[in-house]
Amino acid sequence: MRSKLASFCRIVAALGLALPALPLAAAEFKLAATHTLEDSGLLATLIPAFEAASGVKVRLAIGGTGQVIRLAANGDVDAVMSHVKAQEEQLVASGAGLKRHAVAFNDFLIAGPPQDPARIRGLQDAVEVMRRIRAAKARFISRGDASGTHVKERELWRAAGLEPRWAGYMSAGVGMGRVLMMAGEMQAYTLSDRATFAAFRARTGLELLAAGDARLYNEYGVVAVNPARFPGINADAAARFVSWLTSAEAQRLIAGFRIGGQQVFFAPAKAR
Amino acid sequence: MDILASTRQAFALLFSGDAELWTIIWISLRVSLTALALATPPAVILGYALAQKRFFGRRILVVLIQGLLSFPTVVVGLILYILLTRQGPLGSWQLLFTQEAMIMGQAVIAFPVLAAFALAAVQGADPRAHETAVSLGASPLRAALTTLLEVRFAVVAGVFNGFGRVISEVGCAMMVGGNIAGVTRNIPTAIALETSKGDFAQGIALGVVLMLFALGISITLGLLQGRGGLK
Repeated sequence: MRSKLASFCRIVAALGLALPALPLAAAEFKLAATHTLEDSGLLATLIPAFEAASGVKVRLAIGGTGQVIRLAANGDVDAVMSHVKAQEEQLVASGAGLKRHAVAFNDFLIAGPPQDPARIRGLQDAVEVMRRIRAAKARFISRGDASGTHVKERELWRAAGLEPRWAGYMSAGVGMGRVLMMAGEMQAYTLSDRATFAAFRARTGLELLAAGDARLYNEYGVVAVNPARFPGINADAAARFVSWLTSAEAQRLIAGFRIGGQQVFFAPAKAR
Repeated sequence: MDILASTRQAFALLFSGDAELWTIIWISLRVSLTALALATPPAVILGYALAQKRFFGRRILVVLIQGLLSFPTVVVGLILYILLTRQGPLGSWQLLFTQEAMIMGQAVIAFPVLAAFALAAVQGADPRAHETAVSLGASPLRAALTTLLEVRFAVVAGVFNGFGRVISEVGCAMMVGGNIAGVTRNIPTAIALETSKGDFAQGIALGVVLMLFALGISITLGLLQGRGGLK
């Protein structure tokens, strides 16, 4: 028994020693990005194009904005793409990030079941939409994961002066695509970015019910992690990625990205 | 992230009676214990039948159960999802993203563990108990009960092992439960979420609870074996 245990320990120790020695390509670049960028399919267009243009191999970490900003703040990745401008600027102000660049924008919308029990179809005022959903005690699925979409949703509840707490309000804690799938299954309303909604529309049977409020503006930014703070990071690749992403070539790809023939991301006005 | 600060926060959460935390723990226990209560009787009956009876397809069933012991829980989740989705054959039940769906998943995951333990227990039982019962004129049902009573500690060990498997299972619970706060968010899915949010304190607190469960199971099993004559 003892010898078995000893040999087991030896195997575990050997594995532990071998793990860090696994080949990690020197040119590898770690990028953290949000669920909406991944679930909409935009990254699947951008990343191979960047890899082809630069020869840099990209390793993606996907999470909500809260999580990916945290990864960057801890120096766990080389650059981050997210969509809460205040948090990106905070990352820069703290010294962990270099400079924020706007990359793309679109808008949020309120999706829901075709029956529309809360009667929000065609409304433009996003706060009125939230009020009606709350008043109807309709089902609503929240991302609940401190993501950019979740931050926006909380902003809307605050603007409406409402506490999102009723039996039909469900906090899911998963990515945008999965929340849309759940909303489709449960015939619930949810706040989504336009791109992921378009990518999941056919699968969920949900409809675009309300959009167009200026408060629903959704802008994506990129920040490279500061090599002065975290010497281990791949600063060269991060700088190349940021300059590529803001280049005319990448901006053309972003504006040209289509879901079902529809443009879902727009190049920021400031872009070159 | 300061590990010490997170850990201190975690214990503060545990001992302050944080409602959200205890709701998560309660949901975990409720779902897993219900699943075991549903799965145990049929699994024990099947295990007993496989050990005692000789019938067509028995060997296949034994191999199947042993194979299912290491069946990936995410595949259970996938199959259940396909069955329960609105477009699926059981879509009209509207069970996806409910505790009932999680219970179904965990019952399926626990079943082979329970059956395999019952099978091994009955096979390892002293055959004289069964023979004596029969010779004293016991009905087949009565004789079966006598045998199972004889090996009850080994059967209970199976239940504890099944509990250990489902209480910590995250794949299936996430897929068919949806991790909805206060409804289907159990300990494993909550830990996964808190980590993804970069909030470690609640994750650590729940991890401590899960490890206490594991320790409790192992201590209880040790006591049972000491007392249960599994010499």
